[in-house]
Amino acid sequence: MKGCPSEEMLLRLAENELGGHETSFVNEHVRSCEKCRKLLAEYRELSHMLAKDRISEPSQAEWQYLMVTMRAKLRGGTRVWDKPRTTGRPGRRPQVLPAWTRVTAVAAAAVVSLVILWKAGVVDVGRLADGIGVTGKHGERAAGRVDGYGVSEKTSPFGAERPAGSAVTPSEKVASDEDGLFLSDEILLAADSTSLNLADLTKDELYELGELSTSVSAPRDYDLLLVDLTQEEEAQLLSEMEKSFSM
Amino acid sequence: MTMEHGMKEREEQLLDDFLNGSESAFEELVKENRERLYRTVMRIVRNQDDAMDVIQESLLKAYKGAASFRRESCFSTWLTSIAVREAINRVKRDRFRNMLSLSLLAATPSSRCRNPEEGAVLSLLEGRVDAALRSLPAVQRAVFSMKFYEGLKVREIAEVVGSSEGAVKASYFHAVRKLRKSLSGLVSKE
Repeated sequence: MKGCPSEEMLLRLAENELGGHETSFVNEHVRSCEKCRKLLAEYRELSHMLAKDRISEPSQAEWQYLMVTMRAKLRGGTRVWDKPRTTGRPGRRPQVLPAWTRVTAVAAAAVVSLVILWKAGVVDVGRLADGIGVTGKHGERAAGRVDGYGVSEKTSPFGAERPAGSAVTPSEKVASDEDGLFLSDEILLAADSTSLNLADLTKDELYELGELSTSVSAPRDYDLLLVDLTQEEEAQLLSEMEKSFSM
Repeated sequence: MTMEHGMKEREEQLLDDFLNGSESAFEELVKENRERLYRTVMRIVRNQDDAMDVIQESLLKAYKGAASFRRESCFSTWLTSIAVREAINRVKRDRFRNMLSLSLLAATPSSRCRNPEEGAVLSLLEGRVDAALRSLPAVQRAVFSMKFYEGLKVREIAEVVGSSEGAVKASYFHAVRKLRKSLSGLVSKE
């Protein structure tokens, strides 16, 4: 080879991208040229160093959050509390959001009064792609869709293929578990979607909500926190969940 | 039938199903592409929140534009193309914001190291590498990431960024040269 190979050729050699003949030629040159040998060594070291660049991986919950918010956007939904409430339903408790996202620990005490706490050991509750999942105490699992309370999933265009109220089949449950959609380790915040749609919360609001929920005494004692439901809604949800549990 | 061909057929089927009204088919397409998409986008925007935002925007565009997808390439290439363009735009938009944070250099030592001193050195090195990658212009960063980290062929990258193979090769080479310069203090001369 006459003269030094191009820098690009040295780079390609460092990245093992040269063909057999070219590799032989360049290698032969490098053996006798200190300048090229140093440059080749630099490129090899650079590759090695750049290969150490690591990126964080999103958790299954983050993927799920992404899908949920995407569905909400596809529905064209806006955050409900941004709009004035036009219909008041009898029995509804005072609206607590968006003040929720701004309150201090003192105000959190007021929220607690609006929260039903599901005692640990009774059921574990997780969120499925299309409803609420319930895990029994002894490992048996049932899942059901709780109409009227869809935790942002109720009107999902993706969930439309399963009739409302139908149970999740065992194979689907396994699929959900494998996909990490069953978040039974997480405390679930469920809310009437007409007043609080978790899908429409920003990440910051969700974090704030999360912090708020941890300010509730011993949150790990509870599996489910429900907010802003009427007494009738609470009763209906409880009944639905009990039915799911006994399935 | 090759694995690549089989995957393409599956993608085509899922796309047909989605266009015929099956929402779950779109979800399947997303699931099959999301990790790869994330890695590509994350390497470009270099911030997880931005990466997830970009992916969501890209998926929304794909959802709304699937009917007009002409199938001249694989669905996954088309989706990657949307996401990479979104990511490049994001970097351009935030170019003044994406400066190396001092906190990055003071990051917790890597958990891979048992020795705290070694961990601090590694963390510093990771910070320098990150800063060097961030210093690349958006398109070069995208091209470099796709080739170096994702192992895409020059032809595939050209398809994704809508450029010629020659331009991709040149872009990659310029990126590597800049990285070598940025990291010159770390790359030993001997």
